[in-house]
Amino acid sequence: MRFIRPDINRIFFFILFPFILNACYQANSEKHLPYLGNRIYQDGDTLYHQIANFSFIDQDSSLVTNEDFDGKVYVADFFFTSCPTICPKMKSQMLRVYESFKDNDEVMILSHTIDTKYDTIPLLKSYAERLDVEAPKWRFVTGKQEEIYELGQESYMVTTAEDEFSPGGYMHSGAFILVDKDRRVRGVYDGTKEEQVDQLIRDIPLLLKEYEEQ
Amino acid sequence: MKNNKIAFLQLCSTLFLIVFLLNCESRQKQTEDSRENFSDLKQKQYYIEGKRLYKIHCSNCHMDEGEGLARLIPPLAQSDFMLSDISRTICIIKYGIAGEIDVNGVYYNQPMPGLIHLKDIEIAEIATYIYNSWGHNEGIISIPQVKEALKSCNKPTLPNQQ
Repeated sequence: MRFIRPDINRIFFFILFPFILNACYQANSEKHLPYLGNRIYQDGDTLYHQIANFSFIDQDSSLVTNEDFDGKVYVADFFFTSCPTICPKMKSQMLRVYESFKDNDEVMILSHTIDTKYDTIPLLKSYAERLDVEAPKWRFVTGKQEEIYELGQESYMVTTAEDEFSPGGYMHSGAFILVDKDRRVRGVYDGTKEEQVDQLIRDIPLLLKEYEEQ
Repeated sequence: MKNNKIAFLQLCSTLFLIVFLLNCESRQKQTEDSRENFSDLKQKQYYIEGKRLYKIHCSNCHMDEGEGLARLIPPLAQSDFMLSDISRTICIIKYGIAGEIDVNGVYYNQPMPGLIHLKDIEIAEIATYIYNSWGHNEGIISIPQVKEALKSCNKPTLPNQQ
């Protein structure tokens, strides 16, 4: 009997170990998402970086402005339909986000084309239809090219530019940017990597929960 | 009492080992299955190199398992369009394609840029990979076959061509 005891303890430890790990993981997943970008401290208040005003047209020729995202969290990205490099991979990953939050009206997706010359509204419409996705949940927008580039660089903090040396003629990041209900950037994920998109899908409910608690 | 517990522990560890080994074996079997048809060493080489090239040049759009993307990008895996005409596929790899095509009863209309800089051997390797993956079993696609096919291609006019 005396020789067996330590063994039993050890066995208990091994049985309990996954649960302990799981508990640690759970505690970790209750994290608060960070606020990204520059902060301004003014009169004792902290002003977080916010997405600037924008005005675009979507695949259904509807006007899209910040007001459409009032009371919503959304995921933004930049792409172009004829993109031969990372876009299809990004779109296949964004489809997973779309499917995961299909029935949640508080979550939206905003894809900006960076090739406004070629990506006309009918082309964006056909692109969305062929992906089997619909507005207003997932809006594909076009507008003034400079406005889209500036918004990408300044507000969403990602690279978007015309570049003759890049395949397809445009240089852009594959980032998915998570924006909260107050226009603040709360996460940036690599939209070409499945694990990072898994993280995004886990983070969105956390962000929504913040607003429930308020 | 003591013996019972030891016996129980032994039973547990044996079961664990059996499950573990079974798992290993089935995995090994899977990888062997897809390779054993390759009697020819040259075909194996083409296949392996083709897989590497596929990852670089093709998988961004056609995806790792050749599944494509919704109704935007057609699948290669079990694609009737691809399987019915190897020469046409060789041309598409080199020169791209534009306009509507019917793949397994679904219409796709996304222009594909050509990979004009690829050498004939690289096209042969990619073709060998895609024609011997995902349940396809067409054997090696040789360099002479690629050269022959490239003699009579319909070169498309692509939008946004660089």
